[in-house]
Amino acid sequence: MGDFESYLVAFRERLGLGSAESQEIVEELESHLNDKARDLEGQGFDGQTARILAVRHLGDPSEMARRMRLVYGYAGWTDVMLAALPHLMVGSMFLLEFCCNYFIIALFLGAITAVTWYGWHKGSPSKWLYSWLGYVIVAPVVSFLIAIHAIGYGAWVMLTGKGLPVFDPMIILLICCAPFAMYSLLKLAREMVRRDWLLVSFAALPVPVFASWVLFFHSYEIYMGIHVEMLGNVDYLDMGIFVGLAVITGLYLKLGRRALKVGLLLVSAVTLGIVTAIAMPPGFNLTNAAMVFLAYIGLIALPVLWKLAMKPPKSLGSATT
Amino acid sequence: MSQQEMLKGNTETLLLSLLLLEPMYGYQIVKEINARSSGYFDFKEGTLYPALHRMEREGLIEGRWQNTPGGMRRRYYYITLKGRFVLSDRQAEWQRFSRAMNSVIARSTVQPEG
Repeated sequence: MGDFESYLVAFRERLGLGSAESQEIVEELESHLNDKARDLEGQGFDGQTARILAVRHLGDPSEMARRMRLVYGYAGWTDVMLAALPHLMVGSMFLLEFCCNYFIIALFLGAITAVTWYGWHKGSPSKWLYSWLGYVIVAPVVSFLIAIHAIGYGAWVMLTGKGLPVFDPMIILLICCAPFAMYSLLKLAREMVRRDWLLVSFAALPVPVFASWVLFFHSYEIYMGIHVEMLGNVDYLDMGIFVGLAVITGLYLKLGRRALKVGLLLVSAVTLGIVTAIAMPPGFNLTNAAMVFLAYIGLIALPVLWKLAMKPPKSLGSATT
Repeated sequence: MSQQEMLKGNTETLLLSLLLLEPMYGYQIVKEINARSSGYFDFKEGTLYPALHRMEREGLIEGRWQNTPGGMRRRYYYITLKGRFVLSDRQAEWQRFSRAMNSVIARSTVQPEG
């Protein structure tokens, strides 16, 4: 098996695709090599010679990997448009002042959920689906943050001697929501990270934007009326963030080499972290802005750390991420 | 034009024609093409998988993992509805092309010199 293993490891290293895609391709080639070697043995070759010939017939692993990269590395324009669509939808909500129109928000969330559900259960999810998945992640993250804030508020009420906040059904509801939100988030995120951590990092790019808003509004105890007033205006900076996300997503899908994609992620995360901090409403001081920025970088780095901590599957070449 | 160059332009048509008969896995496809063409098409194994995966991404075929009775896992390729339509167009185009070629070639047979 040594011949096959070294061939497949070399192929996988040069392939430079996400782990789920690489895994399937490597498994298919391994199956091909086994079939070929068995066939050659049937023709009278000894086992060792059969394996060497099987590898030789498949050709140079670098060339094979290059051809596969051409198939998988680049996305078509349809994929790019579909991937950019949810970002553009959110951007247009800012432009058209729909950010506080609950009907439009519900419609948007419904569309995101339906498309993601369909894409995820259809089979191997397409690359464009990941940007939609990012918005699916936003909902449990925001719920979790609000729940954590509610727990903190409840504790504060208790400590200041006002008794348990059991009178407020919203707080109870939010506290109950926290474990469910975290469970949903972890379950979905784990599956996504297993497939491709880099795509997950790109999918997660909008999450810190929404999370920083939630943290800001709750930190400063701004009530709904002010939310409406602040979000109801045309916010070109926030709109720009989402248009930027659409452009970054398109670039990501069009770049062939994984190293370039990682570079794009780093530049995007830093830039978006700074812009998001700048875009926060007045009253958000420098420490808060620095926290938003650090949270941004931390969240984007989380998928690769998670992937490294995962137990690698038992198969050839799985050591590489 | 060499045999390899002609094959390169018609790989998709060949693969779709084979998969129309029955779903097949990669190595089976190589063997079938060699057997059906009596060894004329020496299909390079290294070019097969990129071609199959590209066609899958274009929606012409669909790959599905299946377990064999021997306990092995193989990826079988199935032709899709879109693949059938594309194959139908290619076959019609090929018929027109071969008729035109034959009608020209048949009238101009080269006589051996000497």
